[in-house]
Amino acid sequence: MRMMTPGKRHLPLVLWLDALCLLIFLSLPPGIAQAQDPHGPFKFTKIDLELLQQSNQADEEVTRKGLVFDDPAAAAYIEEIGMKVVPEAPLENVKWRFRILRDPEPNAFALPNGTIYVTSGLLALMQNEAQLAGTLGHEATHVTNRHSYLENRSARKKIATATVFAAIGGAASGGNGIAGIAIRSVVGRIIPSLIASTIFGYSRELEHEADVYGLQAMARNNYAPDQMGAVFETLKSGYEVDLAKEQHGLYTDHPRLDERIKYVNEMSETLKLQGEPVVRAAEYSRQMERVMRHDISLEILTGRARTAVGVAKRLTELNPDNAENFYWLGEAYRALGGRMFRPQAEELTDSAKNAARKQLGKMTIFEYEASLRTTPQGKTVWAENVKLAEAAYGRSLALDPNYAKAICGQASLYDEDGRAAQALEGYRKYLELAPNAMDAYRVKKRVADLEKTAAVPAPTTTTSQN
Amino acid sequence: MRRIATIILLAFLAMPAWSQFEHPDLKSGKAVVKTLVILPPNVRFVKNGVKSVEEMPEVSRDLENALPPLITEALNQKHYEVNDKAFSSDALEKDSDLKYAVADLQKRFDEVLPQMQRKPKDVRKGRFTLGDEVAKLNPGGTADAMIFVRGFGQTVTGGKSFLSAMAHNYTYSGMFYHIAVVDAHTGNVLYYGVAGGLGSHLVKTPSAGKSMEKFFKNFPEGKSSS
Repeated sequence: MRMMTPGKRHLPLVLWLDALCLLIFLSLPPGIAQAQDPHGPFKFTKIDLELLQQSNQADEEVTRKGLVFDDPAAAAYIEEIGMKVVPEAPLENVKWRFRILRDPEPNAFALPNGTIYVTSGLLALMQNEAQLAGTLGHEATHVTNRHSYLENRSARKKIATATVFAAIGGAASGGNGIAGIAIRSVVGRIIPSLIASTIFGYSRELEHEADVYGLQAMARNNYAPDQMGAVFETLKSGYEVDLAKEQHGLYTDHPRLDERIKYVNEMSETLKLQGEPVVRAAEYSRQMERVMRHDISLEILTGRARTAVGVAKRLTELNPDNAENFYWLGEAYRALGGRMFRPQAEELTDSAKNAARKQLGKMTIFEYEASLRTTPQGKTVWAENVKLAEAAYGRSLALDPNYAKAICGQASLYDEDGRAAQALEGYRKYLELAPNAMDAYRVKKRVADLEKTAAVPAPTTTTSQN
Repeated sequence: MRRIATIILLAFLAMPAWSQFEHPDLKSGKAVVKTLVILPPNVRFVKNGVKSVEEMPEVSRDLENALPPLITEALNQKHYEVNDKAFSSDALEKDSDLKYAVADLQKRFDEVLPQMQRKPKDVRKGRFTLGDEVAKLNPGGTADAMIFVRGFGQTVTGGKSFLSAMAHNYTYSGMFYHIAVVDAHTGNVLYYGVAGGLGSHLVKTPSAGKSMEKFFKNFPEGKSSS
């Protein structure tokens, strides 16, 4: 006689539900259950066309919400490079478009309708045309090989299966005994996790494929293929302290950066070019100057002041006669606040990163910035940054003494540093030079506040202030 | 026990309007609000099905377009002047600097919002601010306050409801709006709360209108009563 254990009592139910699950899985439409060969003729299913429509809507959304940087010259340049690395033959339901996304995070992505977005953050960090070509070639591969559609189909199938398994886990746990909990744990939690992991694994394969095709596209156009690895190196080194917890293994959609750098560099050595490798750093920098300046404002806005300083420094080196470039360097140093440009060793320890993560989880960006300046070290660093910012604004004003933005930036620096009289003088001059500026009201208000609190008398002659 | 907890949670979530939190300056009358401008609302609505969570851009956009007049109506009833055209699509299309400035301010709000969600009571301590950069979008200082709206909603398919119930992981349709009234001169968050609730009917415009009315019910009366 066999002993009946609680676990065994549940077994027939689990088997029955497994059979039901298999039935549901097999009854999924063929377009979902089976991914198509990405290299063969692609047949659009209803689901694909829905995704295509969503992509077109996403394009409209980002434009409407002011997330695309409208710079015709830079856009034309990116399109010129992009069109070199996309296939010549037209693709069904693809219209190639290249757009600059106003986002300081270095990134690029492609929508299945053929729109490729490169963030201002990535454009500001890249060094030359070859790197841009590699990035665009990588993204174009996602479009050409219909990766989004394939991934969407695969994800839908796997999510459906995971949902069914989770439901089975719930139903199978009718008993409250230990076995019931174990079954729920295995069927309802572990199996969906395994399925989800294959989704991300699949995506990593596609990323690898895109890297390989991107390199080939670079080589076809004589772009130095080793520059693709250089982009990854740039991403890896970055200016900011990386507070994201490192994700290894299954839950990353891109192959790990080190692994990627290795295989991209190995492959680039084997590729044959038709002539001298093309890099074009000077042309790229010239074309991207406005994008870089715009990106600095976004870096500052999102608390990435170190990157802002890095990009601004590069701009001033590239074009040392431009007053605007030095103005942005001043702004970037002012935004650095109580941080040093280069992260200090103590900031890079795990405990320091954990503490920073914790603080950022509890504070707003203003509170965090203010907290950095209150420490003794923060106060010293702020004093250093004030000097550097002052020098940058000074250089900007030496190049153009009536450059209103630099006058206002310098005044804001004095204001933040508690030098009310100098701040007032600067603000007043700014209002004389730019009475209709977008921030004129804000500055007038600040002048009024300073006059009240700092007891600095208003000038006898009437200016444009209220 | 688990079912009881779920019922209590549902009863709490299904409340059409949650508490609102007022800045001390608004409560004391130090911050005087007569005229408000509405920044373009951001709404994300999804269809949560068995196979995927799909964006529903048309529904999102319809709600985004419907909200400003509904908020205007709710505030007009409280005798406020509301400008819901200052940052309309037409106005933004004509001026790319304005478009970028609005997008940047929206981003700043999105960075502060998680902290407000985490500790909404801190609005009463005057903790939250977007900074005086908000005044950039207040030419001439004509507006006293700005309204930010973030909507999050989903409709759950029958299959997903059934399967999630089987997994004891109940999923419901609903629509929630995080609304903040921000001082247009200083950037201080003067009033914050959540409107909406559970139920697929809340996606429809009349329900959104009711949600707005309820949300602003406790907002101080406007100029005619002051």
